[in-house]
Amino acid sequence: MSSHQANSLVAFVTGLTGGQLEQLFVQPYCVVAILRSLQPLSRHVLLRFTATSGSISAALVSSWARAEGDSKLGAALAELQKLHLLAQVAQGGQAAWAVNASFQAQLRHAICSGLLTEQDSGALPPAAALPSAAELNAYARQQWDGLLLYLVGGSSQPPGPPPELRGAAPVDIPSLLARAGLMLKDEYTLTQSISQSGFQFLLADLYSQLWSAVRQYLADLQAAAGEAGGAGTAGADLAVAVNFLLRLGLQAGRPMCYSRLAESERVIAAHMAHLGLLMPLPAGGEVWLHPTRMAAVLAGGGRAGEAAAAAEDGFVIVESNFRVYAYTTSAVQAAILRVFVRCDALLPNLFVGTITRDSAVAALEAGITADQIVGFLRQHAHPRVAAKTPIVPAVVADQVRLWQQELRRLRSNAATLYGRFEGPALYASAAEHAQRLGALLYRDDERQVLAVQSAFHDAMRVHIKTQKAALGL
Amino acid sequence: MAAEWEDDSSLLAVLLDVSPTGLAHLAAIPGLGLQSLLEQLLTFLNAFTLLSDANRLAVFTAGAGGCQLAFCSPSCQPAPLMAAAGGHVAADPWPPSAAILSGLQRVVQQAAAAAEVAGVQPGAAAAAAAAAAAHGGGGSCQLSSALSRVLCFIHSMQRRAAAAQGSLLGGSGGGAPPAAERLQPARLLCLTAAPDVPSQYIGVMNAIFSAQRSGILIDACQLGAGHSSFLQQAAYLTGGTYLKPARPQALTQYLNSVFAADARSRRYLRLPGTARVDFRASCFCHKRPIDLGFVCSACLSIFCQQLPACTTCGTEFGAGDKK
Repeated sequence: MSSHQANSLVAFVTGLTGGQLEQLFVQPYCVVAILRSLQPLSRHVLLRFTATSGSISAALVSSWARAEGDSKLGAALAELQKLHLLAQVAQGGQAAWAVNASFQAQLRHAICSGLLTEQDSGALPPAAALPSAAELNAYARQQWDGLLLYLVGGSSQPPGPPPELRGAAPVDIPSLLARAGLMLKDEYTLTQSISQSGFQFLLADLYSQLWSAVRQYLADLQAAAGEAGGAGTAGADLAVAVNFLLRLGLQAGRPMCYSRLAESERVIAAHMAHLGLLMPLPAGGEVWLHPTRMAAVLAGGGRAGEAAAAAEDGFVIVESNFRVYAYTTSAVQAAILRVFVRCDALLPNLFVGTITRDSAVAALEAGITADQIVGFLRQHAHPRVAAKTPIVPAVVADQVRLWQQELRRLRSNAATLYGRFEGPALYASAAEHAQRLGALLYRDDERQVLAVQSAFHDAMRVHIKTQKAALGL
Repeated sequence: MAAEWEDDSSLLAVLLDVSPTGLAHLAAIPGLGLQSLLEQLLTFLNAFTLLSDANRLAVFTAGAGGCQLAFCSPSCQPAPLMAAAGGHVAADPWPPSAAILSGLQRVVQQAAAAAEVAGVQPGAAAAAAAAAAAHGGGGSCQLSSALSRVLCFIHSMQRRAAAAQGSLLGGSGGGAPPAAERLQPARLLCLTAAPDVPSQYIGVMNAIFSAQRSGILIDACQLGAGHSSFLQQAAYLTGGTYLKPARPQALTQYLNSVFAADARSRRYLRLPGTARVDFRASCFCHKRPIDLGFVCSACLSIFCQQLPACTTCGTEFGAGDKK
């Protein structure tokens, strides 16, 4: 699996365990996504299995590889076995490989007749009702920015669900953010506020933000499935949700009719519309859901996701005198910038600020790294400066990194000081032992003094005692 | 291995012979008609697009009237169409089967209409087609020009994809190596039932050499009765696979298990090879395949009989019959 997939929906799917994975094999889009995530050779092995009765003798399978490809084929078969796609069976006294029957059926169906299911083939909303790209972006931005603004504390209420889907249950955004560790609940006031990882979340690119929210959403479903014992409707919910998200990726830009979705799909469809991945639009007495750019970002995974996110218009200009000009009307963007920039002036469409030592150190102490700050400024660079190299002036980027190193110059450890050893042999042995434990913080051979982490005090005491006895002191 | 394409996706161009001769030979194969061929080809194309989201596909048909593009992935659309769509490169929607099928049917119907005009009935015996081929290939497929057209198409698609990727990498500020070195691997699959047309020897060989030089694999699937010397040589020289299915009615299984594999996977898989390649050249004077011939010492033109002077470059062989 290539590295850009390490943090994606597909990696989540292939990381699932037995029973949950089996339930995915009856979902057509999951089958395609799983197939594409495999090693090339594994895909070809599966393709050869598609048109068979289900099992092929092991001798025949191993004859597929050339001599130099034996180990590759073995690795491919092991990968397929790990995902429960292939299993070793005995067939008429001979070893054979059998393909998962539901996976084979779905794959065969996909190859023979394509993925379009009956409910959404052909039917499309009237062309006049289709929103423009700008409208789609505006809707996605409104919902997602609402969530971010709630996260930074800029508004007391999370964004509401779209009015067209009032009947469906909305996502519980506050508890979703809390479970993801982005917000912490104050025990006394019962209000939520942003956590350290919440700050890091703010500065991350859109794909990472989206993926961590969706991952938490799926993890909740997975936990529900775990409670229900892996079987039953809760487990199927997870499979339906994953299938729905993968379908967004495979049928990019194709609107779907809300009333014609299956009952279980409507729940997740409404949730994704709430988060801004789908834009509801009423037309001809029906509600249609049109995927927004965010759906494409999520579906694209790491690499393609970044490309889609980069298409977003930048707005930040950083000057070498540490001045920051941000052409934005968004309260969220201003709030995010305030995390590490001192605001000097706020005009209707312009945020003017300065990166000062105080503002940057405050952000660094809140757990944000220098690379995240510089990365944020680079990622949202105004088109005018985005063409220059470096996008963020080297002096600014270096200074932020220096401030970060400054914070790390001193480090405190709970330590125990050992001194007045009875002889150099005992000192040398104790020092060596501390070194072996990886607990030695400081040694002064002249004065025969050792500083060792307090956690290892007991181990040191035992060692020194036995050494003393051994040396006869 | 920095110069390798970063995933295993590839660009596949399929060239389907729909010339009157080709169709006549196709109809003569028991258990495989044109309709069945299209259906089986479609499952293969579906499987190919299923394998990777970055796989790109183009389907060409070569008829008596020339080579036509029946279908291509949206990301392969020619530039003017792209501009009309606002320069927006959408991800290829999946599956393309409906679009492929309508494109192929349109072209094949045109070809069938052309065949009727030419007086060759699709159901006619192969003998009639062979006779047509002997008349300088009036009803057969212009393989050489079709190959050239497809190679040009592949070349421009590879360039465009590399340029798009280069600008993407450049935009993110990474010190990426020049993108021109990294072209998406491409292959060309020829599906034909018709025998070779010897008069096209020079053109076909030139197309094969240019494919070999630009690293494009030529796969060939010969459905008809005899072997095709041209396609055998094409597969041999470009590192592709030449296959003459023993049971053409089970075409989809051959296609899926042999031609779906990308170039890198083929290193590890045991694929049907060709025991004996017919390397015979065609003479330049009568376009006949020959075993022994005369070669011009200046320009390497091949002749089946001894001539006083080379008809290609004009060199005189005057001293030839000195005892």
